[in-house]
Amino acid sequence: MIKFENITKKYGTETILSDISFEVEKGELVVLIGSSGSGKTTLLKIINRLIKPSSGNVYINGENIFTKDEIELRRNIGYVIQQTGLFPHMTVRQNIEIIPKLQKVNQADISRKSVELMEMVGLDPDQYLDRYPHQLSGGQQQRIGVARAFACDPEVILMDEPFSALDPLTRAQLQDELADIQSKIKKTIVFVTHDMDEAVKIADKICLIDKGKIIQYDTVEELMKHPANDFAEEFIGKNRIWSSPEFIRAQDIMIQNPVCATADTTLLRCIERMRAHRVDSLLITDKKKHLLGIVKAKKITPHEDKKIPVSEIMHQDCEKVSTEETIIEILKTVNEENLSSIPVVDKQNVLQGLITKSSLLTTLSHQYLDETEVIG
Amino acid sequence: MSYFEYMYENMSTILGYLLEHIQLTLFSIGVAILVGVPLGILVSYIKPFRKPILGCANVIQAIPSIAILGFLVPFLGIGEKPAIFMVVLYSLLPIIKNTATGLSNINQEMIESAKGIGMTKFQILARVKLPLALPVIMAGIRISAVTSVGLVTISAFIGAGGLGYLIYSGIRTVNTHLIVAGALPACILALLVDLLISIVEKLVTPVCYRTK
Repeated sequence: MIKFENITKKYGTETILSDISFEVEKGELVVLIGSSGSGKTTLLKIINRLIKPSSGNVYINGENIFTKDEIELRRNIGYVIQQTGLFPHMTVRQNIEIIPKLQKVNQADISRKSVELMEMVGLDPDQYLDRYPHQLSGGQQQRIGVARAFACDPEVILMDEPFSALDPLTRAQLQDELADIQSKIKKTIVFVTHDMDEAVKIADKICLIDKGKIIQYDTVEELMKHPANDFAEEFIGKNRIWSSPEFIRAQDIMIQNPVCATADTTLLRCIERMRAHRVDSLLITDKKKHLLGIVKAKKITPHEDKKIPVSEIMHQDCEKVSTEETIIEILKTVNEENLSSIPVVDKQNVLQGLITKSSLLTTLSHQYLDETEVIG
Repeated sequence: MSYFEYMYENMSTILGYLLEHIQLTLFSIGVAILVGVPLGILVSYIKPFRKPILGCANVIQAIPSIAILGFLVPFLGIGEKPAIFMVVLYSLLPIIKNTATGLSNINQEMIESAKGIGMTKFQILARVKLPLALPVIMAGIRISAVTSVGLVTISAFIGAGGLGYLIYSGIRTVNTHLIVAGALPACILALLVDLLISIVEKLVTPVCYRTK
């Protein structure tokens, strides 16, 4: 949808952006994030040609934006900045309708659209359309800014730290609403911020920029679990993942290669195995590692005949979780069923690992004890 | 005979000169606006023009007005033409300066956002910059208009007519009645012009800048 190709921007000898190439998919909300001076805003403004790159190209839907008419291009791209973006001498209605009016769209259509947009951003049209921006709160002004960006039904919307001047409560509210609007109408949105919490909340993908270079362009989950380098790790924050536990999955925290045995192993051998590995249960699989069941030491001991195969006494339909299950769901299952351990399998029921109460405890304690990440 | 009795008796003559004075002032201010506002816009857009244009306007303002009048006579003759020319020259500086300042003092981020949503340079000027700069521009026009009333008085010196004629005749004939008959209406006219334009100024001030 939006493709950056070797974008470089220099002011004199200073390089602001160097050789930026990446692509934003249609309907995705991509957050450009970085500390101030990283070049993220410059990159955003290149998309609507407010800034001309020194070299490189940008394509929207395969069309090179630098060969298109500047004004036409901008009218097809929504643009939201902080409150200062609204015209103070125009009413809310005039602010929203300015571009459609310049495009000579029929007035009845414009008016209908304005009402629609106001409803979309959660403001009563009758009450607010004829007010002036200074009569609104910061949050309301920003809603109008968002509404104006949608006025021409653009495919692409650019947002330059739109919520950063708002109080935390209003900001959180607007972030939620933006995420909500986006999930319904799926525009391609490029959003600049320096706030990682904001990025995590709204982004489909995050593009981490530092000193004019892309450090990492990935989904939120990947970025948290596999930061590309120390800077990325530092920027994201080591324990950030704990505030988004929905990104912690079974495969991230399981013990790999748990102790197992095949179904035809005799009880005697099972006991030896447990002793050797100092565990109190064994996972029983077939030759292809498909999980068949689980057996505990205390189940084996009462049996006189230690020569029977373990398949005869193992617990067959034991609880298990898939590799994609989140830590929240795992904790729920473990608590409800009062399990001491739970095997992890993939879609084909092939054993992948094991989560035990003590491994869960170790994982969870990492957010309080500043040790190197186990996750990942 | 008191001054007022004198003025009352010569009402029609004084009114005639007053009318002439008003015409001269209005015409000059009109021309000054038509020249000054575009020059101010030019100065705000093309920075290299700023110094020479504002410099010229400054220098003109520094020359004694009576000298300029004398200087213009060989080129434009006597009468209304050099008078209007002189008043326009003197009125330019506040108009150019205020227009340029008003336009440049608008929040740059807002201008960029106007650009970003797809307004052309002209649309930004006409719909955003000028409306927001209008109060400042009007303040410049107000200063010019008030000075013009006084300047037109001086231009009677080269036969342009207006209330100045009464004052000059009064000075020459040492007739204080005549001087007051010219000066008092000129003074009232200046105050009236100031009042009128201040009202216009308030009317064109965008709602967002109005103080309750």
